Amino acid sequence: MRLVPKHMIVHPEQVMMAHVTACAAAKQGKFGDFFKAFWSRGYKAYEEQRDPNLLGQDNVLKIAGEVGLDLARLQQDVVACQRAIDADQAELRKFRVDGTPTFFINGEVVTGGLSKEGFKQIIDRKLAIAEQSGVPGAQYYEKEIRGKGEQSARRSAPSRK
Amino acid sequence: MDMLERRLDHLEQVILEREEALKFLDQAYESKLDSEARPKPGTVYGVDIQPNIALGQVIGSPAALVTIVEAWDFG
Repeated sequence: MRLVPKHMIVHPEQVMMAHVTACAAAKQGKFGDFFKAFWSRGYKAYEEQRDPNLLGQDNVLKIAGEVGLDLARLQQDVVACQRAIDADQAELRKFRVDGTPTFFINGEVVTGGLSKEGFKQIIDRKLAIAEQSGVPGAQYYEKEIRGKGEQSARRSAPSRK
Repeated sequence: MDMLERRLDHLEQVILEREEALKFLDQAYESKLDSEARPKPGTVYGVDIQPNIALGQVIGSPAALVTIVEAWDFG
């Protein structure tokens, strides 16, 4: 299974720095490390202690350093990462995503809280469909989901003749 | 002849006004559809993940048969 997180920032004043750093971490091949570290040592810690400093720049950079990010390179990537975040949000807006978390499991939308069993059922169903397709995994998403799926959630107006 | 021309001008004006009114209504309807649109369960949506893959913003195997795109916010 593969997880592709896309930025959809609901509270930019609180977490923009963390998102920019996550993007910079991706550019340094450490996205997963920072993603997991910030959830546990940034956001989870904030939830427990309600200390907004845990979401702030100092803690974000501390966690970035702990997972081995090159902080000078991070500074250079800030502008490109802000553009990447904007692009993610623009793509999600095409599908009318207006809250988090929202998931697309092989293209099928799942919003809000779904039980672990509910997720498993959808994943198992999608896996069975993918296996039956005979398309290799490395090509499956682009060919079957991106290539054949709806390109937006917008309904078309009936044509008036 | 003058009367016919005036009549024709009047009809053209009426048609133009109606076309403009219909265009306005179309735009209002499109806007309403946009605001009401939501992704529907059971439909497959082809979210573009290539920029994320190129960036390295991905966890898991590139050969996976199941890809979960998560709209995510650290908050």
